[in-house]
Parts: sequence; C-alpha cells; structure tokens
Amino acid sequence: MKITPDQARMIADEFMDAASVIDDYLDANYKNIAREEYEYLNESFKTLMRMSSFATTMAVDLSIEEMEEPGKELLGIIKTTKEKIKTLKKIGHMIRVTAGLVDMAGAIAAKDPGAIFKSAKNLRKTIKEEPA
Amino acid sequence: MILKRCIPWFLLLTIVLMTASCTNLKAVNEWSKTSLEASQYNRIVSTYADTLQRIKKYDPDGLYAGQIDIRKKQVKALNEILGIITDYMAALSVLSSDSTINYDKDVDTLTKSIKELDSGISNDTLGAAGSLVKTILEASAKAYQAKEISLIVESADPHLQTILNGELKSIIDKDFRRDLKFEKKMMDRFYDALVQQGQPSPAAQMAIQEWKEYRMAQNAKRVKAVDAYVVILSKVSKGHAKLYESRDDLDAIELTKDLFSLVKDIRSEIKILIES
Repeated sequence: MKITPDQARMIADEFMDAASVIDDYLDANYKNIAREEYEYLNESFKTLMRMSSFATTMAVDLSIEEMEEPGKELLGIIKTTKEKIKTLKKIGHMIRVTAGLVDMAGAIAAKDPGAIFKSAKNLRKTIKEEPA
Repeated sequence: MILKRCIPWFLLLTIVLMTASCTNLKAVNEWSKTSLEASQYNRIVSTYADTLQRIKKYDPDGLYAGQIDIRKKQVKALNEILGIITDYMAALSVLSSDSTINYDKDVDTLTKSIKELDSGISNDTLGAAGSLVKTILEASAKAYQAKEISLIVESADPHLQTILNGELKSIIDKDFRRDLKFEKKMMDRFYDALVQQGQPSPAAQMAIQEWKEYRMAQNAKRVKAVDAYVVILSKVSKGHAKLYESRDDLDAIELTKDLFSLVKDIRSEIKILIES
C-alpha cells in the first residue's frame, strides 16, 4: 500500500510538532546544556522542520514492502516518538531519541524504503529502551 | 396589416411570459462578479512559491533547490486552475448581466418601418409599441440567459466543487499554512540564536528584537491572507452549490438572499487579502 497525499500531509504535520517539542526544549534549557548539545538539537530541529515542509512531496506514493500500511505505521512511530521526547529529562536520552527520528526523516527524504523500515525499527527499539 | 404584424409579437410575448416571467439575475450577477474578483487575487500563490526562498535566509545549510523547483511547478498548475475558475466566473457574470444585448437599434428600425406606412398612427402609440417590443425582447433574452445559466451551472457544479474542495483547498489550507509555520519557527530560532549564542550588546539586542517583530508581523499577515483565501474558496463553493440547487428558479427569494449574503462575506475577505 502506498502513502496517500493526506497521510503525507499528516506525516508532515507530525514532523513539525516533533520539531516544535525540541524547539520548546531548547528555549527552556539553552542555559543548562552544553554548546555541542545545543547545536546538535538545533540541527535536529531544523532537519525535522525541513521534513515537515518536504514530506508532502517526498513521502507521497512511497511503498514499503515490509509495512502493510506505511502511512499509518510511520505516523504512529512519529507520534509516539514526539510524546516520548516530551517526557525525557536527561539530555543524553533526548539526543538518542531525536537522533533516531532524524535518521528516519533522512530515510524518507532519500525515498529509500529499506532504510525507512530499518530506521523505524531502530527508533521503536530506542523508544522502548529509553527511560522517561 | 398592422394587426397581422403584431400577432407574432403577442404570441412571443405570451410564450415568454409563460416560460420566464423575466427572471431577475441581479443576485447571480453580483455573486459571479464578486467571485471573479476574488479568484483574481492569486498573489497568495506566488507567496507560497517564495516561502522556501525566504526560509533559505534563516537556514542557509538546508537543501531547498529541489523543493523550490517542485513549488514552482505546483504554482504554475495552481495558477492555471485558478485561471479556469476566473474564466468560468467571467462567463457566468457576462451571461447574467443586464446589458448582454442592446435592442435599441432593432426597435428603432421596427418603429421606423411602421411609421413609413403613413397610417396616421401617433408617435405616442408608436413609442409605446416600440417599448413593448423591447420588453418582449428583453424578457425573451432573460429567459434565454436564465436557461443557459441553469445548463452551465448544472454541468459545471460537480467539477467546480471537486476543484474548490479538493487538492486546491488542501494545498492552500494545509501546505501553505504549514510552510508559513515553518518560516515562523525558523525565524524565531534564527533571531533567538543571534541573541542567545552571539551575546550582542543591549543596543544590538534591541535592533534584533525589532527586526524579528517586523518579520513576524509579515508572516502573520501572510497567514491572515491564507485564512481569507480559504474562506473565499468555501464561500464560492457554497454559492455555486446554492445556484445548483435553485438552477431552475434563479430569482428565488431564498437564493437571492443567500447569494447577496455570500457577496458581502467574500468582499470582506477580499479586503483582508488587499491589506495583507
């Protein structure tokens, strides 16, 4: 099954929401985190924001062999990741989960079904492992 | 002889009065003219094309070239679609207008030819006969116009509704809006980073803050334009649906009231588009 234009739009919206969560975190913590950590999260914020603008054209029509309903599955993963990020207290955990999401965004941007499936699988694992 | 000449006109008058009773198309005309005007405010579409170009300033490392090309193609297609809507509204507007055909010359020729018969009929009677003929012709034209509008509206409605409530609306309502949110977020972070990381002097901080507010206000105006345009699309769609429902009774009181109310709403949204 292919990702529909409406699902691509929802994916775009979820990437934007996830980026906003990181944005809020940076606003609240820029004095408490190291410069490198700030830079890393800032770059992740930008990547997710870019994906929010590009996903409508990049995600549409993608089909992933290993996923029965890629649109629904990807939406679910992004939503769960976003909610997880909101609960994280330590910067190390924040960076690991964000890195997983950025990795998946990159795979979608590359329109690489194999990489999308692999990064989604890794992201699910990371979310499960990271404590709140 | 004169009586013989008059019979066809009286027959025509009877037919016209029976079929049309001179349909008043003023509301249809006002609505289609206003919709035509609204659909011509398509600057919002070029704003969409330019958004990523503007965002590049706040995110110079982002790879935007490919997306900017896609946007340009989308904008071309959107402008073509909006152009078709504009042409359609122009056609409806012309068809519903009062001054589609001027019969003065025809009536003058007719009354002149009666006068040339030298029958002793007074100018007052001839003038009245001419006016009566004009009324018949105008009623006949109105009946024809109403019938044509009814046919056009009937065949156009499903297609127009698909355009107004489908991809066009999604792109403007969702994609335009998301891009503007993207721009706002990137501006916000860009100016905050200047203050947070650059440690500027208080005077420089004030200047950055003012510039940020100026850019944010521009963004807010663009969002308002998107809001207005989405409302316009929905009001045009609603108006056409009403026309479709009452296509066989185009001067029905309810339809007239609805169309004039939509005209008022669309005009106030056009005002917002002009100001933004």
